Amino acid sequence: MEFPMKVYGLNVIELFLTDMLTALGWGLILFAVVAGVYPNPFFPLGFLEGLLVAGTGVAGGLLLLGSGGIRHNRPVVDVAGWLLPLVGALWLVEGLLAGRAGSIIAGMAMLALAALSVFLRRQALQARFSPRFFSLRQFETMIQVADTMIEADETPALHPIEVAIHVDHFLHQIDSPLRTDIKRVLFVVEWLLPLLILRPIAFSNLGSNERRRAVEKVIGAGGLFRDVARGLKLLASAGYYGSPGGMAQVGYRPFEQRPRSQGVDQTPKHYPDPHPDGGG
Amino acid sequence: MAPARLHPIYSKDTTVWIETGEDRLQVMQWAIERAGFLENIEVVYQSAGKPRAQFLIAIKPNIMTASLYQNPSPVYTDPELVEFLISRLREQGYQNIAVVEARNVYDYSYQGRNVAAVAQMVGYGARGYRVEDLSEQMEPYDYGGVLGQHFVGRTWRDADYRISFAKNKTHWQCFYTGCLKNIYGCLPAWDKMKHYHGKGREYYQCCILILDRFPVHFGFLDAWVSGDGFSGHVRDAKPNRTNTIMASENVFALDWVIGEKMGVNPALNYVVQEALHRWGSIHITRIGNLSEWHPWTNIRPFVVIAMDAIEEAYWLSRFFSRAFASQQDERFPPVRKWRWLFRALQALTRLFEGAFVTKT
Repeated sequence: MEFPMKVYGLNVIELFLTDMLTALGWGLILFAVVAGVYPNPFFPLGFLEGLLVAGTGVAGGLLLLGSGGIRHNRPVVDVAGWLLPLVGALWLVEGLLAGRAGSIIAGMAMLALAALSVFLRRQALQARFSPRFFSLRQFETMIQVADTMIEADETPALHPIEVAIHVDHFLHQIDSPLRTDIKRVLFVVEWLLPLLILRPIAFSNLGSNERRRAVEKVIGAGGLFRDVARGLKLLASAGYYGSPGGMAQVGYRPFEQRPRSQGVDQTPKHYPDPHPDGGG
Repeated sequence: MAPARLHPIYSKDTTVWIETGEDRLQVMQWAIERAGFLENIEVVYQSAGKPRAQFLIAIKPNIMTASLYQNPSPVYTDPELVEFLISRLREQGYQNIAVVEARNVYDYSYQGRNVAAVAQMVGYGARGYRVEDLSEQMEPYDYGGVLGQHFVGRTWRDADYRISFAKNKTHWQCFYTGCLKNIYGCLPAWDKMKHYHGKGREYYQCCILILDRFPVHFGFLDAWVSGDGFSGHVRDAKPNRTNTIMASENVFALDWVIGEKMGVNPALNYVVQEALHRWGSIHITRIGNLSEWHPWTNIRPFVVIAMDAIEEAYWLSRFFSRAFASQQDERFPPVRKWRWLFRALQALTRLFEGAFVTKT
């Protein structure tokens, strides 16, 4: 079988994580059914316990839904990722209050599996991108910023991931107080910008149209958001047009490659030292 | 990960040749002819500007994973195929030919395993060529990247033409090993877990780095008899007769097709993935039988991830390396320290080897 060669295709950690989330989803649903039918080993079943059992089943269902495509269904995986440790913690508390070992063990197992899935998700991102300057979350935000800013019908010269890598490596090399500001801008973009269009979810989890709407909101805004808009434009432009592919697309040719540079003496000019005696 | 950079060899669209038949030397001959090997080396020779007798050709077969002499072996490159290739090179007038390898982590477990001794065990006669131990000729070299200031084997560094002649087999760290991973064996430090694995640097980064700095000009794959299953890269009780030799001027492309023949998405292989990130995607023309090996037993993703986790801790990976080294030729005696413990663990390894495999 011929496999398509994709630079940013699925990696082995994502493959394993997908299988693990599927198994975990089915396991939680099954566990919720068993705990609902036979509650004795876990707790005396009441209203709150019933909610906990239902929450466990919902977490399982979300994991199953998310594992259908951990990249495309990322918001679902994110919600399940919050719900699973919450449910696990509640099982643990319930077990401690009721003094039932079954509930304590279940809670601890859920917390451990939640921690493992978070670890694997981070490892999967690390394996794909290995950012040098940005955190994994900031890097993902940068990809979505690039995707939003260079969105066009024609195929762009650079993939948004490559734009993000260019920016990441550039910022890793320079030493400037601007670097802290850029991290702050990405934080604002990731968590606050979506609120402008009444979407209480991370910028990276928005669809391309919604991301565009959020960015359009800040382009005409004032105050803090005006700086954000400028920051986004600067980042996307530097990453895109700072690359040979981006330069070529807009017709830029380095001076050495232009016809009028050929045969021109480009050796640096040397001037005599105006203070040969040291200026004393 | 760096943005993909164009490499004059690895980033080129290319052809991979898959030759099959009943006589392995005949099939090797076809691979040499049809893949344009002699024309390829002639082009490099012409640009080198050296007398033919001085033009240094380094061939890196898989030797040091051999623990026992086997004929045929699913674990190491068939020495007869390597010597056949050398005889073809000598017919063309090339005389400065070296078969190179470096020592490996079997030294945790057994004594006396230098390259010359292991090469002799598996059948290299060193007639018309020499066997070089890269671990004995370490020269300082700045690789940059994750390796930085490290060492390189002199012969590998000085070679005018480099060939990777790998074995077709599964590997628990990256699903399978081919012509790219074979060059990891040119990294000269014997304690590979200490120098090339774990925190701050991964083996696949080191492997791709040496490939980038010292490019391989041609690759052959000995898939005449292949090793599969959990421990396929070191031993296989039921070797697979796959009767194939593969060849290409681009080892990156060759390794991609090796994965396809095993039914594994090549991008899941850490080494190939690193190559893809570094050199970008290419177009591959495949010529030959593209059907997957059958029967064939692949490594589970869980095993690959678990091995990656274990190698983060040097002492743990060293412990497991020794515990898994469950067989060895008698000429290489076991390391004495904790011998009784590891003898028991190695017996356990033999029992459990079949547990982590998936049938295709």
